[in-house]
Order: sequence, then C-alpha cells, then structure tokens
Amino acid sequence: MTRSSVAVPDSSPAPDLSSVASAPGASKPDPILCVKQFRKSFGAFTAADVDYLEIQRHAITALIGPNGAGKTTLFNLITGFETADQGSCLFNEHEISNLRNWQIARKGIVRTFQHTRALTKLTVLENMLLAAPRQYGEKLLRSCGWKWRGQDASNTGKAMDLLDRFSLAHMADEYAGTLSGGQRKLLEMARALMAEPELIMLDEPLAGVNPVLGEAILEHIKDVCAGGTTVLFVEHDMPAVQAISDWVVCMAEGIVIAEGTHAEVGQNPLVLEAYLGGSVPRGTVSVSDSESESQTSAEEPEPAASQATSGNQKQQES
Amino acid sequence: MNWGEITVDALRTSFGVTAAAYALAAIGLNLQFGFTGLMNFGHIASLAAGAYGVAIPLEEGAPLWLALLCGLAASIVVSLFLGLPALRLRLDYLAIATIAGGEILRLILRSRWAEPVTQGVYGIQQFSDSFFDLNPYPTGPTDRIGIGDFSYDGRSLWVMTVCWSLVIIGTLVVWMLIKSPWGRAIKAVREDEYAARSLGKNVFFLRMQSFTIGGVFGALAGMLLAFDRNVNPDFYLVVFTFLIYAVMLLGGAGTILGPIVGAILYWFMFEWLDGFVLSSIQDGWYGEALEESDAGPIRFVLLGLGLVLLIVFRPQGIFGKKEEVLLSDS
Ligand SMILES: Nc1ncnc2c1ncn2[C@@H]1O[C@H](COP(=O)(O)OP(=O)(O)OP(=O)(O)O)[C@@H](O)[C@H]1O
Ligand SMILES: [Mg+2]
Repeated sequence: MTRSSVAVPDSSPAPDLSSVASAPGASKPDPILCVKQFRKSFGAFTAADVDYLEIQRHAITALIGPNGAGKTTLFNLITGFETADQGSCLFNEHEISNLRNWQIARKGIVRTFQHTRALTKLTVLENMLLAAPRQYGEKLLRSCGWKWRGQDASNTGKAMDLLDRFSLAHMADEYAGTLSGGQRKLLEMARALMAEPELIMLDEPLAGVNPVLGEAILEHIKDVCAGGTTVLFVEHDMPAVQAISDWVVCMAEGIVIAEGTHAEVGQNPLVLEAYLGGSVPRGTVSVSDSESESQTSAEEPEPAASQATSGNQKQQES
Repeated sequence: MNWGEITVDALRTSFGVTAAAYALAAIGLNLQFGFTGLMNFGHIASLAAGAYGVAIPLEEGAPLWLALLCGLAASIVVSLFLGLPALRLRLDYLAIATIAGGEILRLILRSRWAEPVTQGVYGIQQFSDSFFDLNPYPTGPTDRIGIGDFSYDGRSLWVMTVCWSLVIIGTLVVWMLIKSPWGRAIKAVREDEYAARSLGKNVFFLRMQSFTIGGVFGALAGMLLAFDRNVNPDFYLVVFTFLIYAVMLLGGAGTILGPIVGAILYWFMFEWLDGFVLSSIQDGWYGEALEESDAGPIRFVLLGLGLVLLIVFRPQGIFGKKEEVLLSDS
C-alpha cells in the first residue's frame, strides 16, 4: 500500500465508533492496539498507569491531557523505548511488550518524538531513504554491489513525493541539521510515513509548526488515515484535535480519565477539572482562530491550551 | 642546513611502511569512529591481535595463508570480546571499556604465564620468512629502488606495496559500504540511535558489524607492521591508539580519503620536524641552549602544536566538510 499517491479519496471508510461507550477502557469494534494494565514508575512516582485501552483500526485517535499527564510515557511504553514495570500490549493480537523498540518498529508501529530527532549530518533525502522498509542493501553482505540501486531509486521517488507534500522538497539535499525546528517536525513525520507503518504515533505533530502549514498537516493526517494507516497522536491544540480526530482519549496523572468523541470528552467534568481553568477542550473555537492565537507571543497569558503549546515550544528550543 | 635533504627524507617516510600501516589502521578506526560514532580507544588491540595472530602460527611452522587467516580470526575474536559487552553500554562507557580491554590484552600477551606461546616481554622475532619469500624486488645490500634519495630497499618496498594496495582496496570497500543503505544506517546510528531505532534499525547489530570490520583493518595493519619489524607487546600501548586518532582527525574523520591523506601528512610533518630540529641544533641556531638529544622531545612539542593549530583552524580535518562541524548535535 502506498501513501505517496497524492489523490486520496475523501470518502474514507469512516470507522463506526458511534456505538462505543464513552467510558475509559471502552472496547472498540476492531482494535489494532490493546493496552492492558500498563504501568511505569520512576522511583515512587507513577508516570503512567493505564488499566485498559483499545485503539480503533483505521481511525484517528487523539491522546490529550495536561502537561506531565504521561502521554509521552505511554508512547514510550507502547513503542518499547521504556520498559513497563508490568502489563501487556497487543498489536494485531500479538504481544509486543516483550519486543525491543526496533522490532516493534518493524512490526509496523512507527512513532515520532516530542523533541525531534533529525539525523543532523544526513541530508533530508537521506533521512527519508533511511526509513524505507525492507531495504535490500541494508544487509552488510548485500550492500557491496549494485543490486540495491533499483530499490533505492524507487524509494527516492517516493521520498521526494512525500517531501513535496510536506513542503520540504527544496531542502532535499541540505543537511537535516540546517532545518528549522518546525521543519524538523515535518521531516520527522514524513520520515515516519516513509516507513509505511500500520500504526503511526505522532507526539505533538503541530508543536512549532506555523498555522497554515499546520492545517496542511492535519489534511495529511486525514489522508494518511484514509490510505489505511491508523493514527494515534498527542496534541495540545484542541481545535486541531476536534478537526480531525474520530476518538479522543484523555489522560491525567498517568491514568486514562475519559474516552469518547471530541464533544463527549469536552463535556466530561473530570476532563475539565484536569485542565487548570477547565476551559480548554470545549472546542468551540474554530481551527483558524486558535491557530492565530497560538501564533501570538509565548509570554502573553493565554487560555490553557495555547499555554501548553507554547510551553512545549520552549522545551524544544532548550 | 640542507632543506632538500630534510624534505626528501620526510617524503620517504611519509610513503613508507609505517605511514601505510597507519593509513590502514586509520581506515578501520574511521569506520568505527568517523562513520559509526564508536569511541574505540582500544584500536591498538586489533593491531596486536593481528600481529600475534599471524606471528604465533608462523613461528610454529604454519603456512602463510593459514597464519593470515589466524590473524584475521584473532582480531574478530577480540572485537567480539570487546564489543559484545561494551557495545551494549552507553557510548561513553565504550571508551573506557575499550581502553581497559586493550590494556588487558597487552598485559596478557606480555605476562609470564603466556610466555610459552607469546614469548612474553621478549616478543617474537624472525617469523616472517615465508612472507618475504614472495618478495619480487631485489634485496641485495646495495639494492635501492627509487629516484635518488627517494628510494627504498627491496624488503621495505615489498611491505609497502602490499600495505598500500590494501589501503587502496580498503578505501574502495569503505567507500562502497558508506554509499550503500548499510552505510546510511550506520551514519544514522552515529547521529541519533533513538531515531534509528524508531525506524526499525538494529543498532547493536550495526555497531557490532562496524566495530568488527574496523578491527579487521586494524589487524591487517598490525600484521604488516609485524612483518616489517618484530612483534613486541610494548608496541601495543594505548598511546598508539591516539596516534591513529591523530592521523584520522588530521585527514578528516568521517571522510573517505581522510585516513590516507592524514597518514601521509602526519608522517611527513613528523619526519620533517625531526630533520629540521636536528639540523638547526647542529647548525648552532640556539647556541648552547639546546643539544642534539633535545631534538626528540622538541619535535613532539612542535607536532602537538601543529595538531592544536589544525583543530583550531580546520576542525573538520583536511578533507572534512566545514558545514558538518557547524551542525550542532542539539
Ligand atoms: N525518565 C524519566 N524519569 C523520571 N521521571 C519521568 C521520566 N519521564 C517522564 N517522567 C515523569 O513522568 C511524568 C509524565 O511525563 P510525560 O513526558 O509522559 O508527560 P506528557 O503527558 O507527555 O507531558 P507533555 O504534554 O508536557 O509532553 C512527568 O511528570 C515526568 O516528570
Ligand atoms: Mg509529552
């Protein structure tokens, strides 16, 4: 299945989540990922303690929650970048919590990082080519010789297509280290897509990206999902969450406190309580409105949502 | 002072056996450090493994091909011994573990109880006849091949021929590896192992492969130095690893031609300074202040100064790209 074809039909087979109860741990019609009693503590502090969570296949699921809620920790646990103290994680009904992170990636779960990890001394194009799955020439003995060139050439075509969609094509031959923070975010997402994952996990894909491009990225995410990839993403920008997610999971203090459609979660008193000020996930603001908000300077006191976003931008620059 | 003579002497050394062997060793180190980012401070252990691996069987009367295979096998064993535990550690510990590993190997080789095999502190001499039997050059006491003073005796020229050939083959092999998807993967491991992991790369395995191949180049260099001289445990001190680092950094770490250029340049500078300091003392430039015996230390001081200047003005080495140094790893 290629996701590089630009024209994706808008009529994606929308997953039917209407019959799913909006309660933490609700079971979905067709879960791709199933997390059971996953727990991770750092010393006495429990960063994540997820009782039961299913992620619907072919849907866009948003993971929200205040800073320090344990969203990134849950990502790390699922993708094997942290080992859980206990619990299990089923991907397509296969246990993956005992696998190493790179094995999980090969199974089809590719994640991006909140703090971008661009390979600075590789070019943008090399970053993309690196991610291509099942590369013939990546085995040491096969790398001597020319047999891998055909595959590499077709991968290059695909990579350029993707870069084009993420407005990075003109940077293809530059070192990734010369990209700006937002461009690195884009590169990382494009690179993850290059790996043709079955489940893509994006940790704050919009942090530091300008509103216009942000809107384009949201469209990409929808396209990606329509192309058959399941999307799980963390985002603090509520209008964006509202715009694209089929399902929203809210975490606070390591625990999943609410699940449901955006509207359901937005009205959940537990969720409002979890966010200081309680005004965030109401989702009444239109996408463009709030994005111009988050563009304003980080020093200005803002509603919690954009404070969270700008806080993250600051973290990234440090 | 005879400038011409000093320069020709320096040129001769810069293409000599030692320079060739350092180039070969630096190719291996460059694969490990320059391309994969492995801080291997025990590279000299691979040279020792190659040297002893080839010398011991030859002494016991084994044929040359078998001894060469033993040398390569020994270096692979040493790489696995060092790499399997150390490459699982965080990379800064790798540096410490490899220094320790290199010293341990040297101490074992010179220890009393290994003496029946390694001849301990005395080392192994006169084992390389079967290598020099293949020498096509004339080896009479007055035979010299070359132009004027830029000439070598047949024995050295034979080692040089083999060594520079290996350097060229090694450079081509590394070039091919680095341009391939495998090379892209090890560079990714150097840049950010977590990013590599998130894209399904087996970081430990890639590091192990690079570490072992680098060790094989080191072993080849060790063998040729052993043929040229003898085998003595005290040649394999940790400091010599840093000379190989100097050669690699001079040419430019992470570049294809860096090791070759670095080795030639390093030995040219070294020998030229040696000749210059010695003859300037003999010419009485400094009056009574310096004697001939001071020449040795002074040339090291000057060489060190040169390397410092290089790092200040050309941190990327002769062949490196400036942009790469400027890209921070934040
Ligand atoms: N390696 C670690 N060692 C100790 N504590 C950690 C570690 N990683 C995370 N934590 C703690 O776990 C908690 C959850 O962190 P996590 O990064 O998962 O939050 P998050 O929901 O992603 O927040 P944000 O929205 O700010 O990214 C935080 O309080 C953090 O201090
Ligand atoms: Mg986070």
